[in-house]
Amino acid sequence: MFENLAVITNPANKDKQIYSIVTGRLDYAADNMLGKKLFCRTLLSPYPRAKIISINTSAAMAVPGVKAICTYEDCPQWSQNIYFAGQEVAGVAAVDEATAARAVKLITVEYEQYPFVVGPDEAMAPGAPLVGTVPEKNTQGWELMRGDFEAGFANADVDFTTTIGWTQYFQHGNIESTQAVCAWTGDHLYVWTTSQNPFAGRSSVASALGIPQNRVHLISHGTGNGHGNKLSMPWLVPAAVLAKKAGMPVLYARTRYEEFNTQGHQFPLKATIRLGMKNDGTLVAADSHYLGDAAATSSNRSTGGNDSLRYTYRIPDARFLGTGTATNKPPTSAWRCVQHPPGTWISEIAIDQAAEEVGMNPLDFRYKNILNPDEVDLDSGLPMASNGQRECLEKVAAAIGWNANYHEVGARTLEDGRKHGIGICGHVDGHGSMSSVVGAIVNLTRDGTCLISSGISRASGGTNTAHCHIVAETLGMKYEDVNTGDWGNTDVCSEGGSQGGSTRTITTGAAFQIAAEDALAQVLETAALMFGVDASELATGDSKVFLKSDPNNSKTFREVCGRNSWSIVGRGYGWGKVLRHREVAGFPIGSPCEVRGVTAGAAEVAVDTETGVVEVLKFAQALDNGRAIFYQGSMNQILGGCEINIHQALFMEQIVDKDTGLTVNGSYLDHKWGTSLDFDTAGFSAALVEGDDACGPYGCKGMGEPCISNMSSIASAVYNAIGVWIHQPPITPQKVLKALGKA
Amino acid sequence: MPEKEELTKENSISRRQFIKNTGIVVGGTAIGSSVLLSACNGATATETISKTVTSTVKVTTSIAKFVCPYDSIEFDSFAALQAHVESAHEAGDPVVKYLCPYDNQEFSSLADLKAHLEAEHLEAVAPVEGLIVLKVNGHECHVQVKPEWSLAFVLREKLGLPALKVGCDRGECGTCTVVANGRAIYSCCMLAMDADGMEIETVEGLSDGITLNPLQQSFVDNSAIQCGYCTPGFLMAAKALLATNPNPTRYEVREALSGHICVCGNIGKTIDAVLSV
Ligand code: FES
Ligand code: FES
Ligand SMILES: [Zn+2]
Repeated sequence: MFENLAVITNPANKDKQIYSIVTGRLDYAADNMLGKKLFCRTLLSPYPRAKIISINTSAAMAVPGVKAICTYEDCPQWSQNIYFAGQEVAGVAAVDEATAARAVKLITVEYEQYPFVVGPDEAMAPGAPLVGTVPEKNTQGWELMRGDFEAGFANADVDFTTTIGWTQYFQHGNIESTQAVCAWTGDHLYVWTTSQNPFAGRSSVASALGIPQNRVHLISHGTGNGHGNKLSMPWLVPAAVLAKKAGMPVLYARTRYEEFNTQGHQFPLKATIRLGMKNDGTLVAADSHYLGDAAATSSNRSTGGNDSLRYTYRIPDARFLGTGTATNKPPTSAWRCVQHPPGTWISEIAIDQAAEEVGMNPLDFRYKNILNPDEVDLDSGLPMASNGQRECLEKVAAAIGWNANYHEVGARTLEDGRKHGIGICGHVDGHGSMSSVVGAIVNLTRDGTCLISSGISRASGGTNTAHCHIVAETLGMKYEDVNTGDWGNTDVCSEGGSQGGSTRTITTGAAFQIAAEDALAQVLETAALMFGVDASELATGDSKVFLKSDPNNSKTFREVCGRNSWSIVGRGYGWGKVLRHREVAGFPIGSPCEVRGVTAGAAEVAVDTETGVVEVLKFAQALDNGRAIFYQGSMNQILGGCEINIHQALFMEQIVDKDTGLTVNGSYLDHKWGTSLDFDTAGFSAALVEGDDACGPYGCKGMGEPCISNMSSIASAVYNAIGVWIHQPPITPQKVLKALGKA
Repeated sequence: MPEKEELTKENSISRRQFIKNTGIVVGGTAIGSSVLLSACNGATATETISKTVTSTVKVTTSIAKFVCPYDSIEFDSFAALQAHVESAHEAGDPVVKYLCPYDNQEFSSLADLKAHLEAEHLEAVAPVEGLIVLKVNGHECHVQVKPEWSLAFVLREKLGLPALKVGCDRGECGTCTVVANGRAIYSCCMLAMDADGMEIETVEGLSDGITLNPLQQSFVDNSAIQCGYCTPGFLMAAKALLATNPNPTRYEVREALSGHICVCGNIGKTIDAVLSV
């Protein structure tokens, strides 16, 4: 479809903000109001389930240097009811952090304590204490039926059941903790925040404080990653309240300890999956029941666990169940997805085990059962706008040397005595999709260059840069002639939407394509006057407007844009989830469709059976992102995903003591993140599959989430090495030794 | 294979090892600073004298006049006087008089003036409590600090250099790394008082921001960024490594960067960027 692209996918194009980053000039929230602001510390509840009876802050307020204190009584974000240890109880703003910390220790709180429950199995058991976040109960159910699953199993030759989980509970560890600077001028509030949704930040603060949105001026420029932890911004309201009470700018920044105790977490999943197969390995039925631990939120968290089984494989008859439970732990949120990293860990291990049950190689079993691009989604009946699952599997299999390296379980020992293994996985999920229509603004300058205003922050590498690609391509401008103007600034940008679901390149990108088309029409209208022809006879390219009939007869954008005494502004709002530029599976253009995230991963490991240490020697990922709009950013996402898969598979876990509800390892060292000595990235590789998504602008779709859901390939590789499945990530040395009967 | 053996050996202790190597021990820092603090408060301790001398130079150079011995024109600095003498008088070494700013006595050497100041004007030139001098990116900065302020806090909030970022404020992530006297250190774990007199380099000093230095350029060429929050720390750690080891092996780069966390998963690109400077 989109041949002759001049800007898009060009591997030479740089991130538009890379210079400001390597020179240290990109501003993040705390970089504002330098030398002028107060600093905060927060008192956290030491009890997992309680009610605040009274708070006395007078001694704290008397500490020299303390300027303001807030509690649930004056901070509408906070509650008198405590649902987890770590919940915010009082905030102190002072001249420096040490002063605030001293004051926090002087606040006295009287609590009424209630029974609590920390473990999900215990919370689901009859008679468990009520967590309090879901009315009258702890659990919530969900069910989806496809065909007749009982008839499907009756028709199966092989009936296989496995139970896998719990997966681990961990914290996002955003390198920039959740934080904002707030300052008031009269009744106008100025906010600089880390964010994955600046406009939601503005509206949430405005409504909590009861002020109109045009008195909240919010800027979110640099954001030290989000991974789903910054979609909603519960730190904004206390920051604004403290700034108002103090009459001074305030930085409300979670300490690393507070971050582990109050902010979002990945939620654990566990599932029992029953699969019915023919002797030749054809899947015919599934009965899958996911359990989810939502911690102290009211969400279900179990429903999407089934997605990879549902979307990836051709299973005509199935029942999908989900039961989520609340527990008294710090809350869960999206972690680069709402469910697929743990959900896929479970379902892809189950697929490997099913393959073994029918005596098939795990790769061949997948080839046999995955949906093809011309097949419809089995539940909605809609076509998939693109599905490059087979190609993804082929690419990672080639990268890992599957045919040469796959062996019987435990069959290969490396020269240094470690056991060798390889593993593979892949899945289709609900990410990268077109979400609700948002806005975009494109400004042409009178010297014929262009600035775009994007209503999102820089929470990951390159989304704003991808938008520049789309605008340059649509306008027919050189890449260097299009730059990011302001972004993440609610005063001057159009609503950019939520930077979740891997949706901003496709969704905000669609708005930018329309905005650029709007600007282009105005450029051509002006140029038509200059050429003395109808606008339809003109085209653009390389920052020039030319006659279609005589491309050498051209005027530069500079000449055309300089003709008007005003600058051209283009507006756009995108389009819905429809097949936009090609038919799929017999569905005509204009039909509603599904846009799906598609990926595969493969790992090669060495397992030291003496120490239990697993080393990832190679890790390959492939991802169908429709089209790599910003090539370097796309590759960084996939390679970055390789590292994150390893953090999840081998290292990360937050441990909450079941007797007290307190986190025992709230630090980067103990809730471990891998570093450059924990794995060697020399063996990592990334491959793009450009599936030409029929819905997205220039055939693109999103990719941020799918590429961190391939960690089960490491579990498969460990199984291939030592013949034991480790069902509960992270795969620590202790678990390996235990599995080997050595600990 | 030697690299592999090293890897296994170092694997489990890398990050704590890194902290140790920076010489930052929190307990030790606290003791050091309290000695310094009492020294500043006391009037007779040996440390007081040495602190006083340092401060005296500061005070004197900022208010002493340098008088031309030939035409009595006053200059603010010795360098300005020297330039004047060389251009206006074609004479040899100028004869410089050092004027005491408090009683206008003249001295023939800076050492004599210092001795005079210490003897006669100790109160006037005594160090202000908590006043430290940092040489930051080549500029001498005088800044008054509180004992509990970290170097990171002072560089950011008091000296207005926000390029260094704070990721954990407790020595776990490397985000706040700056180069101090040639070594990469966690600036969140060094008290500003302990940095008194040190030469500090931050990302702001890597280049003028217009022409990148080769290390920054390599980060650009390798597209070695994602959210960018960890980047200043990695840049400074790499700067310290390359200053002493311009051609590191892959393992040496991995070791030098092992005190850093990148939550976006950008470690691989960063290693590539450092290796290809
Ligand atoms: S901020 Fe200093 S080591 Fe993390
Ligand atoms: S680039 Fe985001 S933490 Fe490293
Ligand atoms: Zn997902």
